[in-house]
Amino acid sequence: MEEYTDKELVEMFRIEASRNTAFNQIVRKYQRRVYWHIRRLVIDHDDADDVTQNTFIKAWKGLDGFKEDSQLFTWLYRIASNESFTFLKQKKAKLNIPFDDVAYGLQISMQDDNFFTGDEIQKKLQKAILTLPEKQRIVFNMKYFDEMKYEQMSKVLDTSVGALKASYHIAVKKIEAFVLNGSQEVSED
Amino acid sequence: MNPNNHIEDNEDFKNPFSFLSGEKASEQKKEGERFDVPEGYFDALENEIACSIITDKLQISKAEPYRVPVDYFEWLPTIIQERITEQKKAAFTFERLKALLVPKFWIPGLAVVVIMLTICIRVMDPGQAAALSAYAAETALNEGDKKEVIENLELYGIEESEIQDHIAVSAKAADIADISADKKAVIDYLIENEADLNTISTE
Repeated sequence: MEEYTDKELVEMFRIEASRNTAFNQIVRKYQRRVYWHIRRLVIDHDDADDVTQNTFIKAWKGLDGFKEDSQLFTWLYRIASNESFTFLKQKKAKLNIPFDDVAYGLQISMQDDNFFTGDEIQKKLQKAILTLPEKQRIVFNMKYFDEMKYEQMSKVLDTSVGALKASYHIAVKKIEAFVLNGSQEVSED
Repeated sequence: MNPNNHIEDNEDFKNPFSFLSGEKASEQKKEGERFDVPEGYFDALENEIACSIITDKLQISKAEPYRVPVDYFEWLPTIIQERITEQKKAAFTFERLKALLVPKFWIPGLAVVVIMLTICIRVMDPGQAAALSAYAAETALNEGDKKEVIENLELYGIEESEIQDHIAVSAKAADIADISADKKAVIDYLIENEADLNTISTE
């Protein structure tokens, strides 16, 4: 299959005859990155599957209005992040529980997940990540697992580079404290 | 030693943080330009150091600890396309309905609505229903009318034999009723006088 650039794919999408082909290629190109980004936030595979599908459906609806001054993948990440946060908020509202308990619920999901194959220390890392506040968690995941640049993250999360650096630094310290001592009490100064 | 050469006159003493001032900083920048680094180097270095805290110090693998079902990513694009097709169909139906509201359909549409409303109002009008009842009462046959019908059978197309049959049946029913009344009077009489039919006949 011929590989097209993002720009070419967006242009193909705007032509009715090649719309489906172009979108199919966009999904194939970015599905893994989008899925894993979502999966690390919502933990459960079925939830991640739903949110991934919704993300691409929203992308389909909005791709006509996509401005090419931003990268396609940054734009998809942004939709995926928003969809994940919306999903977690709905989950929180549905169960009528505070966010800390949602994090606890996610930890339980992780433990019960048949698709979790990590060793004990990886499990501990995942638990540590789940104790982080939403924003720090997403920043940590994007930097640590996706190895994204702060400038790209800044576009996805609409936050300054400085704030992202600080957020990542605190997240790393908290995770270190959690993994070593089983606590996450780190000064945020 | 120059008595006029006071320490206060020394620029560095006057402003110990002068290296932060624009002039000095630009000088330092010029110095640094000779040893350029690749773009994003410091970001990468910073990330590497932070990651090494977790990966090296804590001995945690960076590999993804989750799995997905077999062939999940093979099927996902198809599932997404199917969902989009469903949504497009639903949107198409909605668009067709919406098309009916465009201005060129307003006048005939409005006319249809007005006609339907008029019919509904007429049917549902309570005054109309009362008028219908009054008409029914007015057209009902009274005794005089019935007599006129009987006297002018030919006029109303009723066969005489039908009337005779009806009268015969009515008379028979009246006779049966009379006989029953006589019998009842006899039985009452016998009960009152504590007699039976045999005693009466011998007497």
